[in-house]
Amino acid sequence: MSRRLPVYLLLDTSGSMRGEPIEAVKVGLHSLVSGLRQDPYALESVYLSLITFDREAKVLCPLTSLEEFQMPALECPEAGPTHLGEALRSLCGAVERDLVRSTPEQKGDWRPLLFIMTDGSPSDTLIYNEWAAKIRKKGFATIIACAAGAKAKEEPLRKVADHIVTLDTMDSSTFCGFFKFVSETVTAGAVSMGATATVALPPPPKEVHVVV
Amino acid sequence: MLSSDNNQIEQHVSLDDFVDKNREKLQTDFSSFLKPLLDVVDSLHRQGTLHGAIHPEALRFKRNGEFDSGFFLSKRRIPGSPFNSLVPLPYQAPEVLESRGEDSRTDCYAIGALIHYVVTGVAPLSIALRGSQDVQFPSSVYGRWEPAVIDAAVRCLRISRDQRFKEAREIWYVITQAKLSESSQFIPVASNSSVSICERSGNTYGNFDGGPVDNLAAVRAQFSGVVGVAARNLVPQVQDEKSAAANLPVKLNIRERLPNASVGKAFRQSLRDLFGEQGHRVAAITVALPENSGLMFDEAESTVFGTPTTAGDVKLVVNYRLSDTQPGRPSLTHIVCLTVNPDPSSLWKNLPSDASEAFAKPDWDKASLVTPHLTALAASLRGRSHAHEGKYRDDDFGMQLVEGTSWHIFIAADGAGSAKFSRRGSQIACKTALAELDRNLTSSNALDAALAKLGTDAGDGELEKLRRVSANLLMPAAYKAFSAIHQQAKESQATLRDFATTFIAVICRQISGRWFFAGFAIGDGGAGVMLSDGKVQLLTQADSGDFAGQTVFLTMQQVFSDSEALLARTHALFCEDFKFLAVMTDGITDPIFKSDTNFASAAAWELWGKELAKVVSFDAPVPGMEDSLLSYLKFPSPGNHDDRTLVIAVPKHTTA
Repeated sequence: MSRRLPVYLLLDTSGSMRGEPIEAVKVGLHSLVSGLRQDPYALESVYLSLITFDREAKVLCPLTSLEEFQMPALECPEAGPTHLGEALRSLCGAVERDLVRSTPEQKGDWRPLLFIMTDGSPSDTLIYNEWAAKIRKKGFATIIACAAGAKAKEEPLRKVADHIVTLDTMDSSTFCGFFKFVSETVTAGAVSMGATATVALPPPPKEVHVVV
Repeated sequence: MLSSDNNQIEQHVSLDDFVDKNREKLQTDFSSFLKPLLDVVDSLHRQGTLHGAIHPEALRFKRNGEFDSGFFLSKRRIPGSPFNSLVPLPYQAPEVLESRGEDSRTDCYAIGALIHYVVTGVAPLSIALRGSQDVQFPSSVYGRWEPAVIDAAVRCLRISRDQRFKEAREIWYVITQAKLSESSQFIPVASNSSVSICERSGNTYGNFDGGPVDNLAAVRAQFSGVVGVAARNLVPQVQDEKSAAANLPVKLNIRERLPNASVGKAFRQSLRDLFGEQGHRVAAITVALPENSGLMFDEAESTVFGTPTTAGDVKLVVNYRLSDTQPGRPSLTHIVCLTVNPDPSSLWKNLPSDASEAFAKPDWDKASLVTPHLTALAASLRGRSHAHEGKYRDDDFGMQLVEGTSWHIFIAADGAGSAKFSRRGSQIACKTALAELDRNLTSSNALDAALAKLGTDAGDGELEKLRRVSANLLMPAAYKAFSAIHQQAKESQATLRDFATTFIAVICRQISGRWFFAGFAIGDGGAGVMLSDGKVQLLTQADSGDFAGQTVFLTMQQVFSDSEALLARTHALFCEDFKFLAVMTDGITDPIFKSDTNFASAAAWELWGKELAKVVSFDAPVPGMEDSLLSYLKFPSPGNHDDRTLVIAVPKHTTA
């Protein structure tokens, strides 16, 4: 097996995402996956995991090679809180299970990438603060958080993310812009991992504003 | 036609009333009833407008029998109507959600539901049954309705989540197509026998809003072979209560996707697996596979197999029967999606780097060195990942014989992929260290003095002394390189990190018929000597982190702050004879040796030596062979597409 580039996507599926936003996210995810499949390096290295969070956090798709990846069904409950803290807790568990570290006997994975998308702010603040700090120590090459729409709060995301981007609206073309940005970050990351402490972000499309 | 007369709602009739009063007309000419609705939907789709769900229960008609499109658009409800409690399904025009993988609420399904309602008087299956094969119409409806209508309803209701009609006109096409095939007793429509809508203009069913269907071929391809099948499933069956119970619809949970395939990789997948635990109940599975796809179907094994030739998503129409239903029962249809990944090797681009930019350097380099004692060949090649983006080769190397001495110097450096001027960093590292070592090894030097004092039997203590003396030559050379890069960074108003590079240096000479080597490295990659007795001695120790690609660079200040650690980077070796010396960047060590442990394994070197022997003649290496070495560097290795640099030195054996 060649070395993997693990990419974790944490997606908000709380009640407020219901309707057009979640449909737009599905479109974006679809284009992300088909876009990455056109990149030879990504096709050989990228492994994707999808974790959703609303009232509960679900590992919708465990770490799977891009080659084998199939889009799981995304569903939003009618209403409910945004348990991003729970999602980070799940992610910590997943990362501990998934990641292969270098030993004298084997080369480890590339440093993983994490993308978090939310249209609100964590409802489980205490848990969120605790696990955000733990996630910071998990060796991610970069953690990019996306605050989507007017109600999303940037401030809490600073606790976990290296970079924060915002989206003004939650329509299809905006989410497509975000997922294009994810795709470019992943492909840029795939070829340049390890050299420097941070990953240089690709220039964002016009729908995506880089805040930090 | 989209106008509404909301003031006259009270004068409108519900769908029920309308159907009651117009049953005979509907049964003979259903299309003229459906067309106004399809007109509205089509017009909305073309505008990319959101519209409410098409609810049979909520549709209203004017007293003159016209469908009230305005009411539909305004989503208004009639006060006091029992249907007001219905929660409208959220709905978006497919155009807004182009390329959506799944959608449980298409217009097509809604129209199927509408027809079902009109024909049977009840709302159809729940949305949960969407795409199910269980869609049934009571036998009582046959003979009273146009088969085309029933066929269209079945088609629409069976539509799977990921199979959508983009436009209402495609639904129209299904209905008119089904109508046409009525005369041919619902034999599946062969793709060359269907008549295009344009050709049939003037016919009652031939025109949809005056325009031709743009993607008719695609529509036809999608439905050929399917349209008739659905209708054939509707052969009326004489049922008493008992047999009706025996024929209850069978619940099958059929997967909508096959495991992904890849171009150029053998694929084998049983279609029975689609049915999960119910697989044993399914018989006579057949599937139509696209021509020239590289895939074939083994009917006996119900298995799709072959080596795909074309990447993309394909929809496959699977026909099957349930083995425990009555014999003679027609086959059922299921659409399944198969994703075929491209072959990564077909996607690599090879873009030249920009020769006009600062610090531009060639995408490859090679050299040979012949001295009285050895022959060395070197090659450096830009990796596929850099070639794909037109980026520079970040690796570099240098080698030379120190004039008037027996000293050889070999240096390799690997600029960090993410650092913007690392191509220059590695170049400076090689040039500077080469010059520095050349200067210090020319005149009488401490290392030569130490070697001269050495007896013929160098013990461990003496080797350690030599290692320390060598370190005093190699460490300053590395530091000189660091300083030169620092200077360059200042001049370029860039950071040291922008020039990040690894550094591997080996010096060697023959003395009293034996060979002495000293190696020093910062970062990954490495150097080793394959001895004549089959053993391997490494001259470097790789710096690896927790994750792949994490390493240490020459350009990191802290490397030079710990003198003990720095000293430990130097390795020395005495040997009687050797087969070859190899100095390489991680573009070689990663794919060839895969782990640090394996890099020290004699067996791994032995194996690699055999590969190398095919390109470099170890018995009689000559200049020119670096060309073959350069070609060798192109070897494919999934996931390993870094720049590759390799220096091989082979001793000359003079017959004494």
